[in-house]
Amino acid sequence: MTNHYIDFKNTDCALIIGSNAAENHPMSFKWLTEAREKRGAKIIHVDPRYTRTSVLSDIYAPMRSGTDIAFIGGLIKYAIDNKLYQYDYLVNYTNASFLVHPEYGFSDGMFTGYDPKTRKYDRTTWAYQTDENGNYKRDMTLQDPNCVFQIMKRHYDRYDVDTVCKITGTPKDLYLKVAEAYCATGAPDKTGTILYAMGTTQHTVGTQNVRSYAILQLLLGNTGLPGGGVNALRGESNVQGSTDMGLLQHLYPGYLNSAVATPAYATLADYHRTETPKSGYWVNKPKFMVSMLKAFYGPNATPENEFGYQWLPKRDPNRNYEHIALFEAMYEGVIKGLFLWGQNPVVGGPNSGKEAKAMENLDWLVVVDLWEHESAAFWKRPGVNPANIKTEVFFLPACGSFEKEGSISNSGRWAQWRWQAIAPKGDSRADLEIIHQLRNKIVEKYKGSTDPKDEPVLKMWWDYGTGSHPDIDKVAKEINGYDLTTGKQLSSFGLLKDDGTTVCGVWIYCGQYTEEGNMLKRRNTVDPGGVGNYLQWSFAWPLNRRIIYNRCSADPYGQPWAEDKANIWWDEAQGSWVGYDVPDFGVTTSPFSAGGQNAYIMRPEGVGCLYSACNEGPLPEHYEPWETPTGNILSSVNLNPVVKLWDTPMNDKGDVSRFPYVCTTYRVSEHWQAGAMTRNLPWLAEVMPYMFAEIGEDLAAELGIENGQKVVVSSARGEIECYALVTKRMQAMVVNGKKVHHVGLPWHYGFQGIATGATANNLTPHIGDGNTMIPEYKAFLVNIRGVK
Amino acid sequence: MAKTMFIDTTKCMACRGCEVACKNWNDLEADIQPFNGSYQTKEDFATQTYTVVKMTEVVNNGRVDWIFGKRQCMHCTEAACIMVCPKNAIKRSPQGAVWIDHDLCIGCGYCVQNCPFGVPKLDTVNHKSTKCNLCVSRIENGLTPMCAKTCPPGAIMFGERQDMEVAAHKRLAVVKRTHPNATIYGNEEAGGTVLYILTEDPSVYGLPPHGTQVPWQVKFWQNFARPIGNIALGGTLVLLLVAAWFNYVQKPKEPPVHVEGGVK
Repeated sequence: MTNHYIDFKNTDCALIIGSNAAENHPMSFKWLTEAREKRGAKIIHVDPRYTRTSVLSDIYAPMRSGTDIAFIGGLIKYAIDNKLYQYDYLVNYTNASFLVHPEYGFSDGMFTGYDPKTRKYDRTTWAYQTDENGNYKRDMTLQDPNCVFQIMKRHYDRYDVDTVCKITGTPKDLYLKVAEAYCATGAPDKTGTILYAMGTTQHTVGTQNVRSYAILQLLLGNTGLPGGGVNALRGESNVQGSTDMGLLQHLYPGYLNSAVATPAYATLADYHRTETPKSGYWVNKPKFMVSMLKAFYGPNATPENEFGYQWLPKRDPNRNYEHIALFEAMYEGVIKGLFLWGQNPVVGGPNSGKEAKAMENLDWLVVVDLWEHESAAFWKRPGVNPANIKTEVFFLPACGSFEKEGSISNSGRWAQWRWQAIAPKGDSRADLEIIHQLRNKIVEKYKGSTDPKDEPVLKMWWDYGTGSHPDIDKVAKEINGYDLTTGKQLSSFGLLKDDGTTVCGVWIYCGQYTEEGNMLKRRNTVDPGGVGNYLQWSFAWPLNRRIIYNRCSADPYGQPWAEDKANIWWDEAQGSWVGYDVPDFGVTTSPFSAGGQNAYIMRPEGVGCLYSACNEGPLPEHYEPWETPTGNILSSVNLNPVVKLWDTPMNDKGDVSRFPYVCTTYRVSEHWQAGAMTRNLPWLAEVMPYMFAEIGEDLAAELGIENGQKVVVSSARGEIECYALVTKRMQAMVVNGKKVHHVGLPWHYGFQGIATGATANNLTPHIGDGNTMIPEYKAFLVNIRGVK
Repeated sequence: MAKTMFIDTTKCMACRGCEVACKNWNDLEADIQPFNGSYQTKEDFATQTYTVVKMTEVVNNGRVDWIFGKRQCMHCTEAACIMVCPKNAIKRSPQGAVWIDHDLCIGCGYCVQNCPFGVPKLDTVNHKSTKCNLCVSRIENGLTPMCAKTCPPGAIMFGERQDMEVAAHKRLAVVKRTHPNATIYGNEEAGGTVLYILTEDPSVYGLPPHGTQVPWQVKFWQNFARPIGNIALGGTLVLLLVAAWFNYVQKPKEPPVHVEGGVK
């Protein structure tokens, strides 16, 4: 989130798209309700299904799953055509005025530079124009045909309301209602917020879906202000923390790219050269990287050995390490061992039938979890003979959150300490304890080795106490970082150095544990200005900042756009930025000085990017899902041209002639993720005990399916049996002149626990986004038939 | 001072946290029902279920809507259950909670038969009547009932009767802007009950019509039969029979049951 949960109360209009906030993030509605009560805010819900979120919205607009870019592209055009954009913001805080390479082009769904052999773009023609000194060329009048604003205007000119509605299936009157309500937030004194979740990201165009929201927010001047922003409602209480801490395959902690085994990353100096931009705050990256290496390897990291850089594993440039790729490799028999730590792919993984099959090739499997879930029990799943599966399975019982101490980071980047409430049951242990004991055992095994390949293990710095229970306080202190010269805890990542004299595990968390103590434990409820920032409650990264890019909450001259949107502002007398938040800007950088309006300090160009290179292009373009009920009516290119195609066994592609209905998967309030946490609890099993397929009354009538009867839902990957839940809340949409029905499946169920049921993911495909390879869980094709 | 609950159905998102919190505090067992084709997995109160969020699909002006209404004991000011209980097992706490003392309850089922809201359910194994007790053990100690405590959007409020009435009227004025037919329920009914903001007819929430009162024969029992009965046991027996007969022929009609999807 650029903003945070409580900040929803400051909005004038909330656009909930790709999210079922009321069901999956109920607390969001505490604050959205307050915005409506106190500010008269409007709530808009755009979704294929009329859900519990739609009930609480002022406007509900149906949209075919997988057509966000068309929907948002239309809003971008609507805002431009009707001059509803926030002009001062656009000119000063975005790259609207930047000139692009004259050979940049786009035609029939393709940008310039595509190579069909590699399915990749050469980005040369997407670059900005620079002058002889390397400065970006800009046209502050936004008239130059090569400026970003004009390119964007031309790009989205094709997204007129009629075309958009033909793609999305949204009734035109509802679409216009959404456009009018949301684009009204382009007024300087109004803000709109976008709430999204996995309904946005789990598509072959997931990244560009999010980009389209960012563009709309920049155009309307909604980012960096209270009640605005692009806000991902994270699906796990600590998934924000897990990505911050480097759980993704391509990142180190703090969003530093991980090294690849290519010459560009051969040495630490090469890493710095490759990864450090020439301007923007990331010029400090070497300081973050070296301080992190000092945390990894301690005194073993010296200037002479590149601070241990060579001990880091490097990614093979020809291999992919995303979830789908790992299970494909398992299926091929390349990966022989697997740790499942709080993950249940036999229920939650895409094409889960294939993933369960792939696991049969493992020599060993370690599961760390609270329950013996479906993945732990994959060897005895229905339909297989355990005698034929040779995998050795180890189950390590883990504690629940109330049985251990530690911090979690919520969607709004607030890291809050949680105290232990009760002692762990049985022999269950905290995750930290398990990893600590495991590490100690492994090091013991390697002890005395002089083999250089064992150095990464033996040189590891692990100063968390010698017993079997690690000192969590020491972990928190190391994540924050300290100065080796003074021995003192650091208060800001501005103090980090690249000479090996500072240690910092995760630079963005620097400030969480200072000489004053553990900031995550703070519980003071003072809230100057009443904006809900609560700066003395816990700690938010970076630097306790609650709304990022908050320089934008002030106009180019440093004053709030509106009194009730004040967050930080320039105090000329004090010569500093002051206000209710930690400035996301040089505290003493006057708005009138050079760079005084470069509100997006992390960007080399200092402004927010309407136009920004992703793998499939610098502007989001609508492509159809991998399995689509219709052709792309905007171009002859149906599928995102850069996605990796997995032409492998057990991953067939379905055709609309055999599988005529669009299927989407989702969660319900009553269950949690892959279900182990809730389907094992009687009170939660009770409130949603059965797997069902949700279909509209119109489709049920066509197929002669009655509410409550058993049905079989099938895709090209498999079929499942469950109950039919026939509802008025799902209705056919008219897409490109043709009636399109949706089938909805909750993905919580499996064969273990109290509430059991068929697994929706037996139907989903192995295909992912063009940048992140997040699986396309949200739009694929199925058929459905009644069974007696 | 008596307190009451105010349920603003327009804020309810049917997360059903209240249903689970209720089971938790009252230590009620899970009671898994057969699949009924609805998100509302429990059609009615039961001996192990004191609160249910009703979820009903309606079509208004051609647009589908989904109506949520959290139901539980209404804690009536004129409580039929208290009036008919022959063992004085149903009591009213100073805070306004109508609760069943299970040490005294004999499971005769009079309260079950006479509640205009269909709330109490008879546990035929243990011979006890069961229902929501407004978390009397909590409110006696200055806490709010569990359902109100857990409700994320603040759709369930709890406080002094007077304050809740003011809040309900304030809220009604706002809701009427978008739902001109919205009403307050519980001001007049049964001498005053838990307050609701409703946007649909009470029947959509499984509630009897506006203005529902305690049946006259119940009041008759309370005001005449019982005092006389205290004088003469024989007279009581006669009147018991009379009252039972009235209950039999005058039993309030079951409120219409709305099932999602229109099919049961």
